[in-house]
Amino acid sequence: MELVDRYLQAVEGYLPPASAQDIVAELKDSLLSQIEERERELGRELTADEQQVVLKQSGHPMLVAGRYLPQQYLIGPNVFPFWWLALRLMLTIVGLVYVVLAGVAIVSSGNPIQALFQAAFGFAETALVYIAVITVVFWLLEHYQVRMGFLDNWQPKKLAPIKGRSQIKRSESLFVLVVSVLFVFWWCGWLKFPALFYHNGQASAYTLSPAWAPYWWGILALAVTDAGLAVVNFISPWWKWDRLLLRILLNVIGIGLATVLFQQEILIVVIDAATEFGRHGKLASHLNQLMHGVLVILGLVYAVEIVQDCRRLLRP
Amino acid sequence: MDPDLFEKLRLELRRGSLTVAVLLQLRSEHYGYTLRKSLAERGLDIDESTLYPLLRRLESQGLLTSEWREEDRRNKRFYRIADLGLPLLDQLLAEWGALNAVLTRLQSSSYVACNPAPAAADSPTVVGHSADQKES
Repeated sequence: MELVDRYLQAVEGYLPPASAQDIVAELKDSLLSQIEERERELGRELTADEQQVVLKQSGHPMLVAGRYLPQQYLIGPNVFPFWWLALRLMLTIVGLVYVVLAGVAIVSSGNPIQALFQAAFGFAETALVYIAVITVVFWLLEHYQVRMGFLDNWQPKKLAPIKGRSQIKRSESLFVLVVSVLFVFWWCGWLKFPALFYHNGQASAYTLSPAWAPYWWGILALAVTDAGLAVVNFISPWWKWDRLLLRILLNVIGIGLATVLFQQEILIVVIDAATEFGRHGKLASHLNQLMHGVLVILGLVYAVEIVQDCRRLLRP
Repeated sequence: MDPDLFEKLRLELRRGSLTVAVLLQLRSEHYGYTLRKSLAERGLDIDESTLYPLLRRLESQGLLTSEWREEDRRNKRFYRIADLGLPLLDQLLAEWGALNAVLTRLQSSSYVACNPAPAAADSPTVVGHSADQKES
């Protein structure tokens, strides 16, 4: 019965020490009973090959041992939908941030391919860290059986209305949030993009003109409120009258700011440019024309949104 | 039809039934091997790698008791339903009976709905598996 003992030894190797001996003793009796019965039927001892058939029927040692172990999982079925949602949300936010950063890096650096690869590897590294952190958090929730209050205290009347004109796409809210946050960071000087313009292989630095200074706080407040509205819209993705009124107000302020800035002749100042493209030369002129164009487009977008929001308010 | 799908659903269907069958059979004492044989003789084949972990689980839940004893010059672990297991078995059997009755009614009504009988003499009187059909 050496083969049986070897089989049982293999099973024992996969079992927790506390219960291994007990389980193996019972398995041994079962296997020997089967072999003895077969031997009684045949009237002789089983050959090694015949014993092997009995053991194979019993199953691979790892599988047999696995049946005795408690069912284990990292993220259980109750927590899984929330873990999956958090993971997708995180990957989307990180992805959007890296897309914007990569876009800026590609436009402003001398080596776009390198910038693209740096962004891709940066995204992979950041995403892996966040995946690990989110998984650990949800494992702790699962392990300590933390009750999520909102699952017990939800109210049917607070569920989203039937999808229609009032629905807000979460992807849009997320995009607005990421862009607003990046803008606020850049506006406050916490995030620095290389403000370079390439012309005939020569890099020229540029910066905003002093014309923006009186509106610095106003623009910051507008961007922060936009980000806040995007968060609320992401959590409850449907328009309500108060949020519509707020967005109309924001857009009216936006049109006002775009108008007063449009009236300024110099919005962008080129630094250290060659004489031809100097401070008030061709390059500065082109950049200022571009910025005036951007302000016109922004004003139009605000106006379209105001019309849409008024229609939502009047005909919900 | 996907044979894997059938196998998956069959296993789901069997899982709870095995517990009831084992509890029923352990109203008299058995050790693992004889329990498996007695169930097989009555038409319920069960792998030892399914049976033994199930016995341990039921014992850890307090539904079975076990003791090691020597028989035929070998130590064997004998199982029997515990005091706690008996009323629970009655409850499970009542549940099983109710479920079976519902399924039988559903099967009959859907059979009649799908196959309206042209004459009373031709209408089906027995719907479902015959009593001696082997469960696998």
